[in-house]
Amino acid sequence: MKRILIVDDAATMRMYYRGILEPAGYAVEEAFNGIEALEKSLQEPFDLYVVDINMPKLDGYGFLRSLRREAIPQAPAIMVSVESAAPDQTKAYLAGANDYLVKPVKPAQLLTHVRILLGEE
Amino acid sequence: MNALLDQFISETREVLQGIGNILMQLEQAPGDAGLMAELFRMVHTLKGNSGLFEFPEMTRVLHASEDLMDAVKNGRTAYSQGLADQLLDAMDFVGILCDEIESKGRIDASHAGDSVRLAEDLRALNVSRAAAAETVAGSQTGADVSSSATMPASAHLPLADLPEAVRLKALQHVMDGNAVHWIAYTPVKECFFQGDDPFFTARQTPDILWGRILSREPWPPLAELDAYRCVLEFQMLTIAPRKVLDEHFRYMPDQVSIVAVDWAAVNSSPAATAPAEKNAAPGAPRQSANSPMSGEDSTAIEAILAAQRQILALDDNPAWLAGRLKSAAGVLVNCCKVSGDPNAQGGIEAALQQALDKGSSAPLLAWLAARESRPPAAAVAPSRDTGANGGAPAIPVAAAPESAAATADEFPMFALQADETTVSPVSRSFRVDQAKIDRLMNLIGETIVSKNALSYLAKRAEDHFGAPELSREINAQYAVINRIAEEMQDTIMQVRMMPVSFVFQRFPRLVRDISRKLGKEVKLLLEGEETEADKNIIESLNAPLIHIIRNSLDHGIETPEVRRASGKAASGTLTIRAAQEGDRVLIDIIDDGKGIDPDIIKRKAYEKGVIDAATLERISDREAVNLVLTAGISTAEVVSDLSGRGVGLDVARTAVRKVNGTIRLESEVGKGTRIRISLPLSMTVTQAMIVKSDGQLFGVPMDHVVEIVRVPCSAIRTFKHSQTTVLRGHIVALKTLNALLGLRAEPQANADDEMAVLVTRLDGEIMGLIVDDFRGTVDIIQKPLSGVLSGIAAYSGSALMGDGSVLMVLNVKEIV
Repeated sequence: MKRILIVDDAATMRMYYRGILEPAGYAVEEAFNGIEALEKSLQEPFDLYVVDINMPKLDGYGFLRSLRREAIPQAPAIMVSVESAAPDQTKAYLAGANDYLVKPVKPAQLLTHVRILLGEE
Repeated sequence: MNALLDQFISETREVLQGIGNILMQLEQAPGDAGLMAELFRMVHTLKGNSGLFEFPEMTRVLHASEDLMDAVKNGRTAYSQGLADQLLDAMDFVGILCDEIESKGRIDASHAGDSVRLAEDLRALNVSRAAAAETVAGSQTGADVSSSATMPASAHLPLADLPEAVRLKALQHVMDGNAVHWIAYTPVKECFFQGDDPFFTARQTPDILWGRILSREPWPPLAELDAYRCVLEFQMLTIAPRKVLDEHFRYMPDQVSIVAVDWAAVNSSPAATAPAEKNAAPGAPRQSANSPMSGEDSTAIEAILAAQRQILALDDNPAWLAGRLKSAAGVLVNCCKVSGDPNAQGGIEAALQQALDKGSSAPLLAWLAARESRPPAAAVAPSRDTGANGGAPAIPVAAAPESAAATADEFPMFALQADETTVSPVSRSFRVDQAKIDRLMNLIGETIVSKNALSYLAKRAEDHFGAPELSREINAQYAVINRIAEEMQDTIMQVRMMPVSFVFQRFPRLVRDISRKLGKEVKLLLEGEETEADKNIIESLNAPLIHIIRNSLDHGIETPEVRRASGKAASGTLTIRAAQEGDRVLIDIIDDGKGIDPDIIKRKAYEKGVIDAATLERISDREAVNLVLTAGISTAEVVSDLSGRGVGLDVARTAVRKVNGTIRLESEVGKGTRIRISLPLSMTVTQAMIVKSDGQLFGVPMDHVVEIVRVPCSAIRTFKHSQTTVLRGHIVALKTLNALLGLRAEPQANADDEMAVLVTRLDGEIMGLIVDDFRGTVDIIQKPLSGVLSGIAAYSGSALMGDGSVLMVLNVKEIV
């Protein structure tokens, strides 16, 4: 079963994503800021990351940059943001994201992107 | 109410509390950037969460709040007390909406007006932003001003702003051979005075697919706004023929621009990604070598591939380049897999290895370029005739509205009940439904009571069945079960324990608001917030404390001028202190105000008939001051909106008594007042003596019982209307329980002509209660009476007996 890490400081958002991904057959774990996300990833790397930007202690960009420096399998990361503008996208890619979705993310869209990024037909 | 909504309400309330706290802190330290950032983050979280649901009244206000906080964070707007107040108002409103969602499941439309007003007020403070509104297909606010007075060429039309569903519909019409028109209607500024109703005209446009309203200039602050000057622009998409449209707008042709949308021109915009170039005319379906894929998939793959290209094209050279390359390569492999080209993996991995060796993304970019110039083996054809190829891939960003519009997104139900949240990396806590804890409490209570039956059983085994060994074994087992049950009970009591800070935390805000309103300066000191007590008890404290605080601020603490005149500091101090003493929790509310004048109280109480002339003479100052707790008594000469009606403290007393607490007042004129509330720590098992009277059984809590005696009838003296007897040299007043409860029967003496008397001690006074008989003591868990019965003061509660019957527990203090 593929493992997905949800990184968001809002418990409601984490519950929302879990409610979409778990029924689709993914093993979901949660982290409420970049530090926790990093700790969990180093313990057992994930197959996909869903990363929010605004978090205390270490934000989404910080987490991704740190993740990409580690000598662990580099799984795809979706960054979730409120902005749809190109510069914000670029910022996400610079930090190490592979995909970019705008909040609020619709369930079907999330599932489609997750599926493609994981290479499932 | 589903679990996600529950979580949303819960988190929103938590964050609202946090926002309140930060605003308080910011008052003391307005320049603190850390606090400001945290404030922004909290508002941002609220808005993000609310976006998951359909609560436009809430989202509107949160959006405005967030925009405002963003402006403050970036220095575009100055933070001020007025701004903080505005924000607090908005957050209070959000709190109210939460309550309504919780109770009704939705927000009543009556809140729309407040929502709009609050949002406008917030935006008025945010002068650097212009507001825009969308109509018809109706979504959120927040688009920037786009001025389009001239006739735009199709390629420059803001078609990207169209919701996906609308665009698909429009394309459908185009493919059916119809024209689709974009209308920009800019009424002249004085149009209202010319009898125009531009909104009506716009809405009445024939065959309209979509529309929105923008402002042509930034909105001025509300105070300067001239509502009769039209600065709006209406934009609409319609499939009506040109002739019909011309006819519709015939009176204002110079204010309207109608353009037939040329979708081909739109498609060839440079923002389109490489795969899109292969799609010539819109709606020309292409066959793929492999199985056809759905429209959403193809759009998504395009977007993701475009993203990887963008990523690989980044020309910074970060320390994490290797990680970036690896992840991008992984994504490329997976995209190819999904589009039915698994063989691409080899080539990608080779390119990745080269890229890592070189420390540059060039090899991977090259692989991508090579792939794109190949025939469209992997190009996807929409199996549905949506023509989405044309419009959608023009935007590399997978914007939320882009997702497949076909499916109505039913929110998946899931069984998650308890959410495991980590408060800090060290402590872990569960969120549990209170109903479950209550059920557990009840079950444990029943266990405690029914275990008692075992000792009766043991006795019967010995007495009736002559089986002493069995009796011993039963008793031994009973001892084990007893220990376990009591430990279970203690544990559950611990679970229900909650710190008083839960109630205390709203007080800083309350005190601030009230003292401001009254024009008084008050410093609030909170002590002992970590003191814990049972949840029910903590919650029952809320209303009484608020009443008491209101009272202290209104009548206790004087205005700064009065205080200075009496030599006190201009700012008064209100101390709220909680402490545990034995099995009680003591809450003190102390103010250094003007105190309560016992003479005034005595006079008022006499005037109102609460005390008679005799009592007026006798009553001590101490007792007089406590009369303030009675209904209708107040020192206030003028009844204010806040208090002074002589109702508040009485309510406080009732609430405190309901949970078996006591409340007392001490005061010194000119110095201040202290109110002390004493509450039981938890609802524990109490011992009660069962008494029989008039054929009924009642329970009397043992903490009031001194002893039980049988008094010969001859030893009872009757004097006027009261009876007394002498017990160990002291005269003890006697009262008949039947009389006190309004039962008509006379108490029964026993065979030896003795009366059963229960001797009680209340507030230091000894008194005897005549009953028919005693029935032994029992452990009970006393529960307060609820519903219609809760008003009956004679009983402090009821308890469930081992045999299923209900024992009414007497409130001895009340009936005597």
